[in-house]
Amino acid sequence: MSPVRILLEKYKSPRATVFTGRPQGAAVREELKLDNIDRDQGSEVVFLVPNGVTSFNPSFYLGLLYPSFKKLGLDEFQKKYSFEFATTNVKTKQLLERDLRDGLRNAINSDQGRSILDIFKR
Amino acid sequence: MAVLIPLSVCCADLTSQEMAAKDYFPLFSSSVVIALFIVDRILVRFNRKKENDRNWFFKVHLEPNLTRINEFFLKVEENTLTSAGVLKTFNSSDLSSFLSVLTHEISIFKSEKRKFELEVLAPLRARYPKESGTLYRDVQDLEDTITSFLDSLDYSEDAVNDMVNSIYQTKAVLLENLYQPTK
Repeated sequence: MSPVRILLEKYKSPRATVFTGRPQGAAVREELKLDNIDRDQGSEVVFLVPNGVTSFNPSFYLGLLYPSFKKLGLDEFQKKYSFEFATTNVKTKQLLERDLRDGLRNAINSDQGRSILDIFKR
Repeated sequence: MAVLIPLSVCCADLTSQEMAAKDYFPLFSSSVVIALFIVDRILVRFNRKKENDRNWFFKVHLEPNLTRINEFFLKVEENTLTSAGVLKTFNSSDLSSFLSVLTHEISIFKSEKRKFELEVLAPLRARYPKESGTLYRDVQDLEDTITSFLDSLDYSEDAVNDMVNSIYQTKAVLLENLYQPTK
């Protein structure tokens, strides 16, 4: 099955060059119905980060993807969700990749206090 | 037909019951004393453990990091003001170059943030996972403040004052959250 490609351009305010805010990420998650995608085993999603983006903050990343990370676990999550960048600027791409690593690290750090009941939430 | 019980028999029984209950009082009161002693020991042990934890937290995590926290927020303020100065004077008509400079200026904050997370927040995570999660969130809020400010391209005095105010509000919240394990 070919991956679902999601253009993030339309989820960014026109003049902004940054993706910030947990509520904003959560709103995009809601609109994209990522909960349904999480339940669909075997489906894969590629987020396309548009050109002209200067920062992809962990807060937005967590709002968008933390529930999926929590539901799927690290391995499944990484298989399901990935990112591609429209920018051709190598330095900018490196910095944005570092932002995504920050987001993932923050997700791992936030994954505390899981209870046995979590396994029933899948 | 009513049965008449002789008064002497009735009173003799009552007296013997009272005597039996009285006999148990010393045993009962000593059990209470022992129970209170055990509860007291448990409470003392619990309080001592809490006190040790509190001292450990103060000596290992809080005191050595206070200077580092002050330095971090001061540096964030200085760097952001410098970045705003750089972006203000940059010719933004060349969009591509401007975005490269903006990305670079934002990355200066991010490098500082990563160092702070590694040095101050990461060591807390093992023993105080819940509190460290809250502190990570405070730093995320700070990151949103700085990136949004730099991205706004509004570096007027009012915008700068609002940004500096947000930095120090976040610092106050972070210090309050850092203090939580001592409560």
